[in-house]
Amino acid sequence: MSLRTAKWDRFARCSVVRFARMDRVDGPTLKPGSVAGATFLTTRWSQVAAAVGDGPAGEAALARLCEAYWRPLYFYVRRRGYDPEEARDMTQEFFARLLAHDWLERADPAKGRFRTYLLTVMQRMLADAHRRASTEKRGGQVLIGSLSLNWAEAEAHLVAEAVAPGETPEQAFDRRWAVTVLDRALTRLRTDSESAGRAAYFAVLEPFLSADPEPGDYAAAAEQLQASPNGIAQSVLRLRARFREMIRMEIQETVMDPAQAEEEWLVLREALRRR
Amino acid sequence: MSESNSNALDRCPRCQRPLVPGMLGGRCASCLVDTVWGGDAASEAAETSFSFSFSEGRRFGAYVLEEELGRGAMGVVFRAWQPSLRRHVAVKLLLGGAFAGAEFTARFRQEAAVAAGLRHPGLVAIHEAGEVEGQFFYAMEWVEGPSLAARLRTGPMPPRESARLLAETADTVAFAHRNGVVHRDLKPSNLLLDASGRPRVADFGLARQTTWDSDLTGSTDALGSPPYMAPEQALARAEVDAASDVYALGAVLYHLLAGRPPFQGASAAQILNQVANDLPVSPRRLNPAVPEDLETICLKCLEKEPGRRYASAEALAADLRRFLNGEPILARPIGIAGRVLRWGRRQPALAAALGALAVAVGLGIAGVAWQAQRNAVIAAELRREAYFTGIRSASLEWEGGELNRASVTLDALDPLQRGFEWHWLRGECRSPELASWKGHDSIVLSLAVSPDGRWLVTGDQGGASTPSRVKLWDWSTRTLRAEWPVAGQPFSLAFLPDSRRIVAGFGHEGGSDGVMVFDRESGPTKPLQSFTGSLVSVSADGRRIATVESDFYFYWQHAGRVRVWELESKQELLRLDGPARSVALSPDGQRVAWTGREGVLHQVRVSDGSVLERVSLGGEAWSLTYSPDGSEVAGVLAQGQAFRCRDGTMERLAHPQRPWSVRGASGIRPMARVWHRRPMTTRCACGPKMGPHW
Repeated sequence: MSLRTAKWDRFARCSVVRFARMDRVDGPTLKPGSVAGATFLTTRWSQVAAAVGDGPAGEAALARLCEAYWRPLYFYVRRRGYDPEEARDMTQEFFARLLAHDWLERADPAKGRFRTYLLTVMQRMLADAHRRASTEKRGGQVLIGSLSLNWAEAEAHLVAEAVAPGETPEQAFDRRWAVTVLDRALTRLRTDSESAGRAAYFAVLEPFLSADPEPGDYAAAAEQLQASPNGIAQSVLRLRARFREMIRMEIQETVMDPAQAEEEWLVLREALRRR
Repeated sequence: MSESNSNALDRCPRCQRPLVPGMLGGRCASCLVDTVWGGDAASEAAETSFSFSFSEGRRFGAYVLEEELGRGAMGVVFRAWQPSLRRHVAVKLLLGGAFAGAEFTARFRQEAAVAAGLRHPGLVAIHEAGEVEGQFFYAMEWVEGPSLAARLRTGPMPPRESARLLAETADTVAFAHRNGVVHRDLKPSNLLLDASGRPRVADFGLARQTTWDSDLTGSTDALGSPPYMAPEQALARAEVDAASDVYALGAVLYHLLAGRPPFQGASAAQILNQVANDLPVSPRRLNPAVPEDLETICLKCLEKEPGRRYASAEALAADLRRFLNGEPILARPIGIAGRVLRWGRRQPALAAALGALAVAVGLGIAGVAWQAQRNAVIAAELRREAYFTGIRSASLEWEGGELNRASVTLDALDPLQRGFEWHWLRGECRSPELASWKGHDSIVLSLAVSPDGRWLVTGDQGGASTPSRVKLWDWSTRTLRAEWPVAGQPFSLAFLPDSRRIVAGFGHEGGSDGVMVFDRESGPTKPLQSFTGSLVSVSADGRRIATVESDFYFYWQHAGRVRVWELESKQELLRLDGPARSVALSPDGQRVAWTGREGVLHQVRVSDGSVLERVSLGGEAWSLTYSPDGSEVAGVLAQGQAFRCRDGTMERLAHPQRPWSVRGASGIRPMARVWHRRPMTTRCACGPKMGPHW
């Protein structure tokens, strides 16, 4: 087994429960996040960057972040004009190198935000034709089976999504990133509600997250939940506030300095607004 | 790899942006962000678009705007929900305020503070007045019922009913006048009929902001209400005072009787001209059913010259009651001579000529003397009427639990008139309080006295723009020893037996409610222990606490699980599903009482969770407490009705203060502490009024 394969192997094992070989190693030490009572696990980019080299736990954390945010990278590479297979290999290569600490250990101002870090490193990598040429020789495809990255699904999404005229690959990356942040925040919100024993509430109120109610909607929801319409209105406002909170938490995890979170969010909002 | 994409190029139905498949449950990310950040968008827009930013369902300060009720030149009125107190209010947003200068701001604040201080059963109470997001507003008591204007659309009212309504309104107006507040814009749309048919006067003391601030060249709307406006007010001839309100009352009475206002015209200017120069048509000509005396009362109010109207709103109310009781009224019909004189005052040149003629006819001096004597009699009568009206107001206030207000009313009454009734009422107003002092700018939610009797801790709800505060007082000197702004609303406060540690339960809009133990020296910023929950009750020995968690979505509702804990070890002894709205732990810590939404009091044994007792209360209870010996549970229903339960039976308690909450204290002496909703001038009133029960 080559060194690289071993790294991938570790990445795969540590990633998430769905790996078959999970039983062979101790699970990573994970701490519950700050969501009250929720089982959502959090990983901060700041901690990851600091913990690299500290053994499997730090790598596992990095792997989890990568797994959450690999799609924007794949989209980026595809929008740069690579075909699906190439893009898949590049993304894989990228993670392999990340895990091998090739880049993480270097002091790098771009490391401030996970998003810009990934993008910068990927840009550098794509610029390096030699590495690209050598990837296939290393037989990266062997690893695909052990990863939980669903290439087919990502490619399907990419194809389904119309390319906006004039959108650069970097903008496509940012937009996809923003959607990922929202998606993860929504998952957090659902987990949060479920762990508070409010799955039913969430199911009824969730549609109001993205749309203002039509006349009678709140009354119908009120009947379903045996609450008053103004109680529902209040709950929706509260749910939205909670969602904002979740988005903030999600972003916090991808930046080194909490002060960057606000700025990061403005960038992502702008990315969503662009189209 | 599946390339089949039937969903390709799906677009958001709202913004037409392409959807991102497979994520966010098929939602449009842009719309999601726009909606979730809608509040930001609204406040940005508030500077430019009033109607856009204050739409229904929007959060405004401590309120959620529910339904727009009316819109005028000066503002918009919403029915709103105040989640923290679970009540409806009417919120009036003043359009003029948003663009006004410092002078307006200062005057608004000053007048709003005065208006909010007025409390009377006939007034629509002002709960809060202030500024949120640069928008001036005030929040009023919600009165379910039509305005008099709505009622009048169906035609005139029966004369006796009109007289009764107006007498009650005049009582309220008189009360405000005694407190130095003039309404300035009394009209049918400002008079609301509550469920019991009692007229309630809205906008007292605030009319200047809502109507009179604009220039006089505008439409009827901008002018306020010319048909009900006194001549001196309409022409801005003299300072508007109580006499102008008496005129407006007369104009309202006129409308009630005749089915239309005293003056009508195609334009505001035309109406103003009539107000200044014309006599109103006799109401009896428009509605023959109007009794002559009632017409006389009405027209006396509508005299052009303020000095000829009733001397006060009290006097008007008294004359209306005389009419209702079938007694002779004091007002005299104007008659032909009076009409000639009044006409002469408006037409001086012509009157001079006619005056000469009158002398020739020979009106004697004797007539003048008779008039002077009669005036003296009337003046004495009016003084007595004023006194008895004051007594009546005071006794109404006393019955309504407004003891301090009643004291003020009584103290203002003419000392020469005071009799037994004055002294008796004054005594009643003084008796029940152990102590009362002003301590908070918003509603006091909770308080506790330390077992050693040295400390009082109080917590308030906070305002639209101010945080909740917890304050520590020295009980004996009544001085403030510490004051802590807190993030959540302090729903519960209790002292531990060492009189040093305080247990507090907070509800928080952001979702992080909690019960904490803190030291009175170091304050709540340094909690010693924390538990989940927003309500808490402590056993007498301080070893056990019972908590109730707030509802995840409805944080102001304590609708969560009941849990009983060992304080030191944090060991959970009992957990009940609830959902509970109030909780009390027995002094020995062996039983816990809780109530839920369905209004049933449950008593449960802590050791095994067995239900000892279930009592139907007939309503939701907001607070519960055990008697010091643990044999009874007392509480307050949401309607402000105190009760106690013993051996499975419930008894309602009469209490003049309309308590908001009760707490038993065993340390000092058997007593209950009671406090009363009194926005803007919240007082902590601690009284033995309930003491005799225990």
